[in-house]
Amino acid sequence: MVRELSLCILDLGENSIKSSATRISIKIEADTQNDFLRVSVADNGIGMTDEQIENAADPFFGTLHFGLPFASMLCDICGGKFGIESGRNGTRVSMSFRLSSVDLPPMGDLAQTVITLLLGDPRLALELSYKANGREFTLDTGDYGDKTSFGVLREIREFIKDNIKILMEDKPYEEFSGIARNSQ
Amino acid sequence: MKSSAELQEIRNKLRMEIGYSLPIQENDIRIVVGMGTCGIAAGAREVVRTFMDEVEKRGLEHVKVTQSGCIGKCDAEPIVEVTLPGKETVTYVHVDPAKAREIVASHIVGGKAIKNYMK
Repeated sequence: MVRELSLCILDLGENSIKSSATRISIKIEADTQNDFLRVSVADNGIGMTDEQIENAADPFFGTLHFGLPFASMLCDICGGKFGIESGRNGTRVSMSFRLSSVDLPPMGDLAQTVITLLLGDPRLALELSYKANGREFTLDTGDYGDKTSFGVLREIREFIKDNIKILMEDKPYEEFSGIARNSQ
Repeated sequence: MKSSAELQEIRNKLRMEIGYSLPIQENDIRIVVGMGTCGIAAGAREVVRTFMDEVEKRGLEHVKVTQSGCIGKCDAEPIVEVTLPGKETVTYVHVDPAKAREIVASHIVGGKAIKNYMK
């Protein structure tokens, strides 16, 4: 269903763009010792009403939607938690998972998720923070030039890929993930 | 009552604030990929990646790759719309990276739409 966690992040980011966000902050934290993975996507968009938050996991509430229901379901089946905080200053969707859960999909192509979001709105100020077992790398798209240039987007993609490789040197994400582990 | 020039100004300002739309020039070729949940689940992200790579590799100027949300034909995703200057929009369905490469070669570069990949 959700083949890659990064597709889920892309979906949430697309929601942010649709809610007129100009800033998106993606935070990922993996901790093998304490067996958790946390992912949050925060934006400064128009926010959600209390009623929308309450019914976020119901795809048939309001217009048909599946992004938040999928995210919420994924948290449920992976022994984690799903939460939304939203107000006038934007929305934060927080997800947590048990890293050892067999149902946890691999992260997948996070770099492509980020540049797909930038392609959707090149004016976006996008921040990415990726922590794994105490090591961390961050990306701020403000440091890069014109995001309508495919060359610049490719640079950002390479930066993320290289850094994930360094971050995962001793413990590749796939090792954390149940599905990849089972398919070996 | 505001003058029409003032209204136009407000309209432009709001348009800037509400959502991004690529500045399209007259001779631009436009590729629009559906990026709703349905599109994403069907592989639209990889299709976008292929279009970006092909456009950059071939050095195609005046080709803009952009996104739309769900248009209600979720079973046909990934859906890609290609608009050549002065021509009607062509809609491709069930696009994958291999088809995307063909679309660039035949339609974008060669100007010949691929009938088999349309709905």
